[in-house]
Amino acid sequence: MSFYLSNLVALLAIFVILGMSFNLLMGNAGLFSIAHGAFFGLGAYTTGLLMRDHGWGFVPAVLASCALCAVVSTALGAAARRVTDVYLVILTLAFQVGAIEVIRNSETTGGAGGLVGIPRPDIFGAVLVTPVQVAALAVVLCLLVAAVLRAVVRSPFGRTLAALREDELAARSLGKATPIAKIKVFAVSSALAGVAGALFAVQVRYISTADFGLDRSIEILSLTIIGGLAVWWGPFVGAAVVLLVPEALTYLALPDTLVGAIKGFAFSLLLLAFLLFRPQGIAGRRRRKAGPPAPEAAPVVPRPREAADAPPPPVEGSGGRVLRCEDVSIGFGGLKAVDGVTLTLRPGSITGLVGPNGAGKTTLFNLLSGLLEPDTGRVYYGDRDVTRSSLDSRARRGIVRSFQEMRLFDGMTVRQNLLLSLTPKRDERLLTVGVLLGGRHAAERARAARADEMLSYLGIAHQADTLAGDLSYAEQKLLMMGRLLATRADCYLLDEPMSGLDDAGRERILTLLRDTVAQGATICLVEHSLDVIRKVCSWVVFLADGKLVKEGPTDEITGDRELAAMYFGS
Amino acid sequence: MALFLQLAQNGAIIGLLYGLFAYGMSLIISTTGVLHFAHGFTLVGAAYTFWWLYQGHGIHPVLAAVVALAAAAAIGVVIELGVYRPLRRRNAGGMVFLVASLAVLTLGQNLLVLLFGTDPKPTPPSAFMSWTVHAGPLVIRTFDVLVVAASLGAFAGLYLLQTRTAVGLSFRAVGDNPERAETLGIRLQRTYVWVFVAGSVVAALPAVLLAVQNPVTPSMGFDLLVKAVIALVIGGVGSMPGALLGGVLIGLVESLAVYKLPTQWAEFTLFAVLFLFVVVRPNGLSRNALRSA
Repeated sequence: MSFYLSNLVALLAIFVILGMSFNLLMGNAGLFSIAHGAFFGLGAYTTGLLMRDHGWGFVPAVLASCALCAVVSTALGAAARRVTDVYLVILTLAFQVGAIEVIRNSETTGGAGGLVGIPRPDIFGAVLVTPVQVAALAVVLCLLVAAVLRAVVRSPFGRTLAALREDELAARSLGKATPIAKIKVFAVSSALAGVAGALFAVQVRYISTADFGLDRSIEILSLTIIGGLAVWWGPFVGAAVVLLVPEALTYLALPDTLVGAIKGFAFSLLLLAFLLFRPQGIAGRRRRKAGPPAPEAAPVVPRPREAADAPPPPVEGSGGRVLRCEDVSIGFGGLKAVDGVTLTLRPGSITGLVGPNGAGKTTLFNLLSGLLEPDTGRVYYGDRDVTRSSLDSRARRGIVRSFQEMRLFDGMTVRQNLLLSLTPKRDERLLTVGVLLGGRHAAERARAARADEMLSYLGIAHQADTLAGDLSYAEQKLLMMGRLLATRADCYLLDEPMSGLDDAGRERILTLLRDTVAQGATICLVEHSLDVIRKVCSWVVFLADGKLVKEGPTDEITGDRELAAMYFGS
Repeated sequence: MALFLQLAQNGAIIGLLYGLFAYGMSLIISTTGVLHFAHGFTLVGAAYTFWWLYQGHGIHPVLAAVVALAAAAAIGVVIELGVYRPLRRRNAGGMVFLVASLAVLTLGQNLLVLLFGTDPKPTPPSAFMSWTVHAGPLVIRTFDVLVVAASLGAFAGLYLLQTRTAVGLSFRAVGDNPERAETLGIRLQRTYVWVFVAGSVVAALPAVLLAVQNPVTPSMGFDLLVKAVIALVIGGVGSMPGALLGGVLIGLVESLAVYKLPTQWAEFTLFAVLFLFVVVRPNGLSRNALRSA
């Protein structure tokens, strides 16, 4: 009985590792891989072969399995980095099928017969003999993985993953290198599947490809979704369900082939039922799960009112860098959306971009911010040619943009939305102290304090822990502006930041814009209201049919009758 | 050389069959944006229907094939109404559709194992299917002729559907911009149902062709699905000519890989080719209509 129980506990620990690693990928980062079963197998076979045929100890074999899975998954992730996430799914599908086929037919791996005679595990030479000891090893490793993953999810890196899941484009527009984050999270997830595989190999000591097929991938997927996506302890629940159902089946004395089919049928049915009727899983709460919790802010000494209302500190290193484009053009099909525009944005001033609908204002923003690459022409930032640099790398250099639709991270709290912008790229690395301490280190605490300061500046401090999606429209607009300002960029491209606001809301945004420009920043905004243009813009650029028709001081352009006729459509 | 030609012929024929299966997925993804993994179940469902009627109940094969077409359409519509529509109503993300689609496939596949077992189900040999003709070093079978006719016929049919008929044009309009199509009076939900009918009916053709040539197994849908998905990427997702071209290309790769490599490397070669395409030419051989999901 203790033999049976130890085995069950060990398997449970292995499945929890599988579920947790998959949950990191799917629940936290919103990515999907079909090859988790194959990576599980890759780890198992690597450890099995190294220990049986090459005399390796368990610890180095685990590390080797982990490394191999990380390398292979990095290659897959890197290949799919330039295309949509669906390609990663397709690549992992083909890898799952191809890799298992090769293992099944290779002589070194024992072929279809499987790999037999895997040695018992050892810890630097001390062999674990009893099932209880092996189970203890599995449980210890499982708890270790659980602790590390908890820290990862709560670290700044985890926050970036949550942003990636919520809205990848918005994350990139704030300077998050999401393609790299995706490769990293896939590599970590797959490497941990390899660890689970290594444990599995020494636990059962006889493995075959049947253990690592598509069915296994589906099983891992099912247990993750049943337990609850992005719920840290979800895989414990899910693994228990997925392991105990078949255990119950063994009492029914069914033929082996049927057991496999019943399992497959039951898990698929459970999976589908959960997706349709309870997408948050067993452990998940009804409402959308917020991202990782923000650390407690350091106690702030009450300050005089002026201090709380101070605008963000001066922009660093703007150094009068100028964003300009030279003769940029882009066409979609037959239509020239932007046609030979040359434009210089002046630091320390607000430029208004106006023109009739379809004039190419947003497209020009897309070219300036790096969302699109022009067919011809160049974009410069200071002396640097940024024509080919991406949206996120331009954002890190100091050019940020807003979108017409706000694209907030609706499922994250207001404070987290700001923290995301306040975190520089170097603090978001996977292996920083932030990961080890779960985000509770000094820099993170300082950021939290900074976020609260900004929130009171914006006037939404009382909403700090509300989900961004639950804010009022006007508050969302403020948060959107705050999120941009928190990046401390030098150059802001704002696409209709005041649309849909009443006068009071508009005034608040206008104040933010004036404060920011007073610090020497560059602002360019697309705006339909000439009233707003007159109020804040010192320079106006008029676009029509993709061409720059005229630019000049505000009064000159807004007073131009010909342009007015063009604008209002005569 | 004769072996090479024979392998090339087999590759081209099986590739046309992959293409035939991929058309429906291509049509469905370009209209609804869903990568329809469950298309694999539509195929097995149709194949088992055909086998059950023809072998099990002695129904005339042509009649059985017609019923299989109807069964495929019904499976497609049930999946759309029972799975995709509720998910769409909930505004679920693209990954949820993929996972659900995969779950439908494994659910159906396991259901067939429970109902009929894992053993292959052959259909009776017939004089019609055993006809062959020799052309130089090549042997052409009825199966080859039928596959070429069905694949090119379905391609032409779907092309005409999408360019000449109101319902086909509405597929393209909805695929291009669902909101705008709706404001033009196109009924979205109805269009989605019709695209699943059209896409699924086509999947019954390879189902019946495979059923008369080889024994039917529950896993044949998944096997074909993997090939079709790779074909779609290589050809350019959402492009019908791409599906045809990609299908033939991987049919040839898979078949000719065996000429030099041991047979177990066939699947891995396909993965390698896919990997190469994703790295070098992610948009495939032709235009890419895959919207971010």
